[in-house]
Amino acid sequence: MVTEITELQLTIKDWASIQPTWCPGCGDFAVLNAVKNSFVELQLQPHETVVVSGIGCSSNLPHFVAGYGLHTLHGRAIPVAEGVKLANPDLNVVVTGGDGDGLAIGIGGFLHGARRNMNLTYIVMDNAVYGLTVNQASPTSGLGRKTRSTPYGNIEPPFNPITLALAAGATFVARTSSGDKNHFAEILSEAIKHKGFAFIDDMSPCVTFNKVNTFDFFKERVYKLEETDHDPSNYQEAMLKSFEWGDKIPIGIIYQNKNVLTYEEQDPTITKFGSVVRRGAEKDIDALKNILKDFV
Amino acid sequence: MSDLFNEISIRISGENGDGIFSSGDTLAKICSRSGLEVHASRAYQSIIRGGHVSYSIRASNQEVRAPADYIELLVALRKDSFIVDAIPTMTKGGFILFDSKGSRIKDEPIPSDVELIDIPALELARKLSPLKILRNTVFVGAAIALYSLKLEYLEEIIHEAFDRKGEEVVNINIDAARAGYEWVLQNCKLIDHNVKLKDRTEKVFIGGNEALALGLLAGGLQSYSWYPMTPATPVGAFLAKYGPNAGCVVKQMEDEINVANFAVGAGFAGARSACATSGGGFALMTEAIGFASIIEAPVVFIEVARGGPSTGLPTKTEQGDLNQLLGASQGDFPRAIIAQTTIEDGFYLGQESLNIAEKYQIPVLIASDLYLGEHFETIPELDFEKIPIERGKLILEEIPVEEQPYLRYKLTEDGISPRAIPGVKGGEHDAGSDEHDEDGKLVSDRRAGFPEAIQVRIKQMNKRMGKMDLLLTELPPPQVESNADHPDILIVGWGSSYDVINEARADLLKVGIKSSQLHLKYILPFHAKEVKEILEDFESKQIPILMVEANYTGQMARHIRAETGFLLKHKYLRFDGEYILPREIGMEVKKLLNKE
Repeated sequence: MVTEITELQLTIKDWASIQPTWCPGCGDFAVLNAVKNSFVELQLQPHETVVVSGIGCSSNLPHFVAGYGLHTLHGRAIPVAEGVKLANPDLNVVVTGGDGDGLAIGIGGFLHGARRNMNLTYIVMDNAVYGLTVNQASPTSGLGRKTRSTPYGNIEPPFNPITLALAAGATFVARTSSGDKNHFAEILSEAIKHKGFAFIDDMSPCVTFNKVNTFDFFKERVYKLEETDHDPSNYQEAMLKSFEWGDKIPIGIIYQNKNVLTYEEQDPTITKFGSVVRRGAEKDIDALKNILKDFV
Repeated sequence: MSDLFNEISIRISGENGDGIFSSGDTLAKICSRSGLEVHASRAYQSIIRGGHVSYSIRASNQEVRAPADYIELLVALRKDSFIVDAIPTMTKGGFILFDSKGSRIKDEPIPSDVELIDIPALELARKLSPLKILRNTVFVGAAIALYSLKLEYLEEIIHEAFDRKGEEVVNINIDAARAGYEWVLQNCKLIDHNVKLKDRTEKVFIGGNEALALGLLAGGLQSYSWYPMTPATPVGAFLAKYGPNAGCVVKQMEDEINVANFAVGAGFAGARSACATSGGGFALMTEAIGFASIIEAPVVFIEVARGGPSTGLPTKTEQGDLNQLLGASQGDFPRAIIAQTTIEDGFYLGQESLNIAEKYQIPVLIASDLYLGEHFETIPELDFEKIPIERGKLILEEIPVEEQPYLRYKLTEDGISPRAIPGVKGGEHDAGSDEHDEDGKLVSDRRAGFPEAIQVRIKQMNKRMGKMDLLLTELPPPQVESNADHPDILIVGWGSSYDVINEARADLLKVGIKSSQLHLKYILPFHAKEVKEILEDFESKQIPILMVEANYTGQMARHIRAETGFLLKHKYLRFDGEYILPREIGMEVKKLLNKE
């Protein structure tokens, strides 16, 4: 929910929390920064905002930003966030996590979340490595990469998160780079404003373990889709764009469909009562007795 | 044989796809509308066509809370009915209604002393319509004629089922029902029974799963997530249908891991939240149960057990998942485990469990099983006012500045911290699956190992676990039920076997065996002191104690020993997947008392 500015303007200080525990120079700092800036730009209220995460370096993010934080289990951020959202659709729910969290252990939740199209924003801080467990291959690690789990080189081709999200039915799909935090904040604001499941694959370099996908690696390759004639409303074009990964890597909004109803807008309970949490726990005895008429 | 035909005991059986369940359901409802108490249960297999399925009905002027020990009227649609149902379970003097020509039944083994009624059901049906399924209606019409039940009720149910399909369908079915009914009146001697049929009665006839689901709605359920799994599916099907009009969001998820995590998210957000599954799904849910407990989110997890391990016996019953409930998820954390005991109990337990979950901010695990969940009974009138909705220390209003900072996991005298939910201004906090301090900040990362963090860990563990002691004081301690001052035996059971044991005891009393019953419903926290005193009291009086459980190892007996140190020596354990019948418990008691 984007709140009307009626009271004091909220500033970045209203989103302040404890200092992050990430390694100095980690790409995740840019995400945190963009999250706060975007929340300020959209004037989200901290008490109406829930940041949900899984487990991993990047999933510590909710602790570093004010508002309600829900630091869940490894791979389970999406289903937990869906539970929050359907219980109270009035809340702004932003989900964050890493590539291991969302694309390995949590891929089921990610793909079904994408097709479900609840009004959620999901940021994957993609560093192509398991950092917190000290350097193992992740589902986005490139072929040949040597890690502690692939000491002889990675022989599994990586997932393409953008193609996956498109195939699963996400209605907003974007790639961003932690190397360009202002651009990221702009895209994030668009994602939060988007009505439906918004997925952002953020290239967030791991300065400790990933010596391939570095800030420089992306700096040399990324270009902004906004500066091209790419049409994000064209699904086929978006699909083709999703395959582009090499000397040139597109960042920005790859796909957006503004004309689809969200899950909440169609749910039979929510369309009738709105937020069930705001409605309260009710015991409508007459209605319950009416059900019993079917059991005679 | 003196009890013969003091009750109605009908079984209809055939193949999957024969429409056995809807015919059985119709017969059960006719009995219920005739003012009788009804117990109805099904046996089936994990296939959609073929195999052998049955629907058993027991109806009486007295309460019937257990399956009938014997079949008096078997409606046999297939030849397998003779092998599976007639030979093992027919009573002498009973009747088998079948269609030798229509069902190609010849030379089947027939139990001794039963009367065969060979009705040309298919031929009668074919006169009305080419639809083979119509023969079921002929059979139902014939069955009610044999018991002198009213054709009018059958016609009423035909209208309810087929009115939306148009007049022609209704008329064909009514004609088929009449054809079967008339055929019996013209060709058979009616069953001379002692059941008093009453005027049209409207009694609630409901299953254990449905009663539990209704109880959840009566408890103000606001979120239910699920994934289909036999035998818990009817809970979800009920809530999918009735939840949306009762203010409950119902979400089918992609697997039980995400079902459970969805439920935790909803609970955290302030919804009264529940989910249900069977053993295999529950195994997947377990990590989320510990998660709910450490973030102190209230959630009810329902486990309707079937035969395990693994895929096991998907359509058969077992009380084999107690160990799994006790051991679910890593680490020590507070959880309540409560066993549903009867269908009626499900209605109240659904409400009670949501109250406990929210007042204590803990996961509540409900243990049920296929027998209890899937059988139907007429039940006494439900009291919708009995259990008010209690939400505990829930904060819904803005927290004033002077009361800030708000501490979500504040150390309080009773271990329960006031709970703010998203949307509440001033209540912002982090809820994390890691160990955390009163503020919700982690002590698991850079603070881990520091003396202050070690103290936080100890205090938070004590706070959470302390809720178990407090909860135990609220739960009613188990009571011994006796039908004599000096009983010959104490039967100990738990969960779904309450009524079956109770009926076995009533039957035993008829042959002079007096008994007591200790039935356990609240499994965790456990009334160790009270249970120990009861068991030691019987032991000191040298009264034998028989533990009755539907599992291989005696999981409750082991739990009792773990909690009390008391060793239960005599156990009647069933793990074949079939319902325990009162007569089987009776035989076991007689064996133990050397009275056979």
